[in-house]
This record gives sequence, structure tokens and C-alpha cells, in this order.
Amino acid sequence: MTPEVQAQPGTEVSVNLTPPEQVPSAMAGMGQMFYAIAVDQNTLDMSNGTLTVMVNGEELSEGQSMDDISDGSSFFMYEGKNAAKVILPLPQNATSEPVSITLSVGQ
Amino acid sequence: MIYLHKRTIWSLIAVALLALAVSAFPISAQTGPSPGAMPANDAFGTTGEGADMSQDEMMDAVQSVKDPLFGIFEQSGDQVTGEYVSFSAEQQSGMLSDYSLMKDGQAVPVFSEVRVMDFQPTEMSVEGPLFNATDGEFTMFVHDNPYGTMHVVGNGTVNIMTDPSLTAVEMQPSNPNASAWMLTSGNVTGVLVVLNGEVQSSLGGESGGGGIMEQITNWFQGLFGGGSEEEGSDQAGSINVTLPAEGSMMFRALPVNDAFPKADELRLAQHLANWTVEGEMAVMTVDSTTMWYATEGAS
Repeated sequence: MTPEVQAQPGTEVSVNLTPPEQVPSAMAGMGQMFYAIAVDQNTLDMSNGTLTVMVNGEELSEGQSMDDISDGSSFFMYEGKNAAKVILPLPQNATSEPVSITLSVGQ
Repeated sequence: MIYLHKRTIWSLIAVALLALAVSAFPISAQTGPSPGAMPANDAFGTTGEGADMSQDEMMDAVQSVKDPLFGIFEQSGDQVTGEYVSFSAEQQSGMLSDYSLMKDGQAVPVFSEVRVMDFQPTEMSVEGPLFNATDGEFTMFVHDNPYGTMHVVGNGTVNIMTDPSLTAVEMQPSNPNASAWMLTSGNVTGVLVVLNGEVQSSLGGESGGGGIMEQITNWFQGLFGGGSEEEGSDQAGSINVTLPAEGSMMFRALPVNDAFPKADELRLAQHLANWTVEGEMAVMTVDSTTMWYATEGAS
């Protein structure tokens, strides 16, 4: 999936994923797929507010562990030294339709 | 009961992994697929004020960051050196040798050799944190990130010689199309995953090891549904992987610095080994320039 990224440093990152022209047969019938995005604190200042994750315009709730994200409605985030990583579920049609992901930090 | 059991396991793992060094990650935006790249494609791009920076300028910018999510490769002749990865790439055959992760300024060897049969790259380049060699049907990517990610896609046969210090444990991913190994030495732990490929392996390395390494091995076996340790002496192991056009192979270590909690990173590695991670991206902003790069998984 070819990505394209736009950012408003400090507040928002948007990622648009374009599906491949050919979908490998191994993808057929696979269960929930995930996407991982690591963002440093200069790009998203998590200390300045709460993270909101939107996928195709729908807001995901925050799960407490990676076990909580397999139903497709929640993301899981963990923080490191100077960056955070967001693990989010992709829509079931992600291999055939574009996916829009937005990470934003607000009050 | 199950929940308590998992919590106990996670606690043990977190303690066991404290002694392991590892961690860091990648960057920025606006680049299309490389010419001739396969549908599964890794990409790098930049956006913002410095979107047209040269490789040297990007390197200067990223070097000012402590524990950057990714580094910027420098190529001099066959030698490719980054913040977290170093190797030699032969122009004619695309063979990679002395593939090492950089930990605390020291090279930690992982693969002695990565050779692709009948491979004659028509393009070999570095762009930001990405090394790319392709002949249009087969592509090798190396990422200058703390995971030392190597990703190959397309039709080809790859022979990998592991460093003698590595112990290999064959995993049992839940994805029937995937094969996976945990590779561990005293300094690096990672997974090697093959999707849709035919694999012949003769992996050796130090047996057991005891202590932390044994705990990690046991933990990985539990995490991935068990496995068999292929013990050796001090000999290098080898893996032969034949990939169809829709095949992929990826090596990804746990990060060589401690940027993220080990327990979370290990759990992510489990998803990677099952090939249920569509892609992994890192976004980093330096001086009003946002850089990103992505490793594509299942697509």
C-alpha cells in the first residue's frame, strides 16, 4: 500500500494509503490487519493534549492493550523515550479501497 | 485465569528483557513507488520546509536528534553505513555482506551474507533511510532504523548466511502462509519471516546460552506457539528461500536502543511474524521538515 503523508508539526499527521494494484492471494481471507505508526514528539506533542485517531473519518477508541484492538474499533498506543507508537486496525476492505488515517493532538 | 496468566508472563518477560539492549525508529513523506518496485513497496518521503533536502543535508539534520526514529544512509563505494545498520552491497550481484546492527556505536553482526541467485540489479540506490536494489522483478530494501529491517519482495531465490553467534528457533505462526524464526545472540533478537516462500534451513549458532537468552527463547516459543531450537556449534547457519512473485521475506530485530517498552515491541513482533501488520511507518520532524518512511508488510 503506497503511503502519502502530510503533517502539521505539533498537532496533526495524516496518512493516506493507496491499495496495491495487485492483491497477493495470501491476503485473501486473512483476519484483522493492522498498521503501525511511530511518531516523534516534534511531530505530535502528546504532552500537549489527548491523541485522537481517525480511520476513514471514524474515531477509534483507545484500547488498554494490543488484545483490545482486534475487533477493529480501537487503537493501542504506547509511548517511548521521545516518541509514541500507534497500532491501529485497518478496515476489512483496505486491500481494495484507499484508507485515510489521521492522528491529532488536542485539548 | 487466562488474563492473570498472561499478566504473569508479561511481567516475567519485561524483567527478562531489561537486560537486552534495543530500540529506535523511522521517518518522513511524498515519494511514489520506486521504478520497477513490486506491489509490496517501501517508501520514503519528506514534507515541509526542507522537503527538497539532499541526502547529506538530511543526514546533518537527523544527526542532531537524540535517538532518532531512523537514520540516513551514507554510501561510499560498496559500503552502506547508517545510524543503526551497516553492510556492504556488491553492485554487480546485489549481494549484501557483513549485515550488522549498530548498537552503542559497535557493529553487531547478524548476517554474514545475503545472496540472491541470478540477481543483476538494474538500480541500486539510497534515499533517506532506505537502501533499494532491484531488477524490476525482485527488490531488496534495507531500512536504517533501530530494528535493522531488511525486506525483500518478488520472484527470486535468496540464500542467507547467519552470523555464527546467532541461535535460531523456528516459530509456528498462526498464518499458514508464513514461516518464521527467532534469531538471537547476546546482543540482538529478531524475527525472520517468510510469506509464500519455500524454505530450506540449516541454522546453527550457540546452543542454549542460559540466563536471559534462554528466558527470551522460552518466551518466544510460548508467544509463537512453540518451536524447535536448531542448535549448532560455532558454525554459521543458512537459509534458502525461494519466493514467487507474491512472496516476501522480512528480518526485523527488536530495536537496538530502548526507545519503546520491550513488552509492547515483542507483542508487535508477534503480529509481524504472523504477517498481520499491513505496514509500519515512522514519522519524524526536524527543523520544520517532516520525514517519514514506511515498511510495507502484507500488501
